[in-house]
Amino acid sequence: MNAHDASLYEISRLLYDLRNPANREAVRANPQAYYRRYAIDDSGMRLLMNRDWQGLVDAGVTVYLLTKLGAALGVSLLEMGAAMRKMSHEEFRRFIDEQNKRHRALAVLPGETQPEKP
Amino acid sequence: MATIVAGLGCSHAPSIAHAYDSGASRDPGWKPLFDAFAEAGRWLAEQRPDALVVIYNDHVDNYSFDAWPTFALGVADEFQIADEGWGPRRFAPVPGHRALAHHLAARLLDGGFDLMTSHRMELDHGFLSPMPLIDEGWRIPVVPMTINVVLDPLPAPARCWALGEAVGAAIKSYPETLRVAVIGTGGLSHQLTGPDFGKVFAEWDREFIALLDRAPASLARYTMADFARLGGEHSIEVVQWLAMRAALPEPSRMEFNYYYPFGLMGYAVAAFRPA
Repeated sequence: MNAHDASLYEISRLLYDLRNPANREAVRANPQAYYRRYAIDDSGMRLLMNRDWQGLVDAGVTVYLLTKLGAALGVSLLEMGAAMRKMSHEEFRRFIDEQNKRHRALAVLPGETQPEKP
Repeated sequence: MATIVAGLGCSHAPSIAHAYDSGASRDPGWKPLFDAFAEAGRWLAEQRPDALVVIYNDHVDNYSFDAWPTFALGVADEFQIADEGWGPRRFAPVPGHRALAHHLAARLLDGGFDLMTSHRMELDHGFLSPMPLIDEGWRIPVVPMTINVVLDPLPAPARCWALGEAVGAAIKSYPETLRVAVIGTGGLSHQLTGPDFGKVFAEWDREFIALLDRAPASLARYTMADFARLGGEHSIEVVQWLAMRAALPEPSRMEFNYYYPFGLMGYAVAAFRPA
């Protein structure tokens, strides 16, 4: 994140403030009213209202703050990830399942014979 | 004189905490990782540490961008549990080893590391995902230490390595008899943004562990951009492992390592001991 961008700082601040349960309640009840408490410019407001996760990342917001908004609004990290990949939830699940299978041989686990080091 | 008796590197993804809290740790998907952590916890207990120095990174849960430290050390008697957005997890505050923390802070400043000290610090998943698996019930007091991997500008891996060396020297100069273990948490590979969201870089993770075993100092020559390219943007947390490994006396060697590429992450637990 570029800390010198004032609106970006404000977006980060409103997300950080979601550590407070009262603010989580407020954003659930009326997202726009909650966002308006902060000095957000129009493009920032659009990104937030559209839940444009990748747009917010491109604007410089860290995913560690987006998960706080996800927690308040009931959007999981997996749902954010599917959106960022432009995949359906089902397509994303399939990708993860296939990746798990492909990588299983590289696992080193208790009680298993250690595979050759790559 | 204090002695460093063990080093441990491990992942700290929030998914570990979710599995622990929900009981999913016994499901077939998660059990291998929790078995690996259980073995690491048993092994660490056998080394009989009196204090744990835990090097991790905060994820904008304790610090905000109003004041964001590159390197920070918790110097309190106890540490609170952060509310990351779901409510705080149900753990008692974590006891701190304040005397060791104050000693480390003073010696690190003497050694050229102008770090921030924190007298009230909330621990987030960087600490709390793995630590209940390693020291359930908080039997061993801790000194939490954070290295920034979130807000630009980031410290160079070489600087994180040097910090680890300074931590090692500072521990050894502690005037009382104390057995200390150093833990570094984070990584390994993960990418949580963009079209590669969820990609795990398992081959690189294995190579990283092998390098940490055979040529750890060589990892200090990588840049943050190198780590991001090789293991995904959010894998740069591996600098916490570098600092841990650099704190150990030479020679030290890897006792065992477990690696589990699963879901969004390359999970790992590795143990090191002075030879």
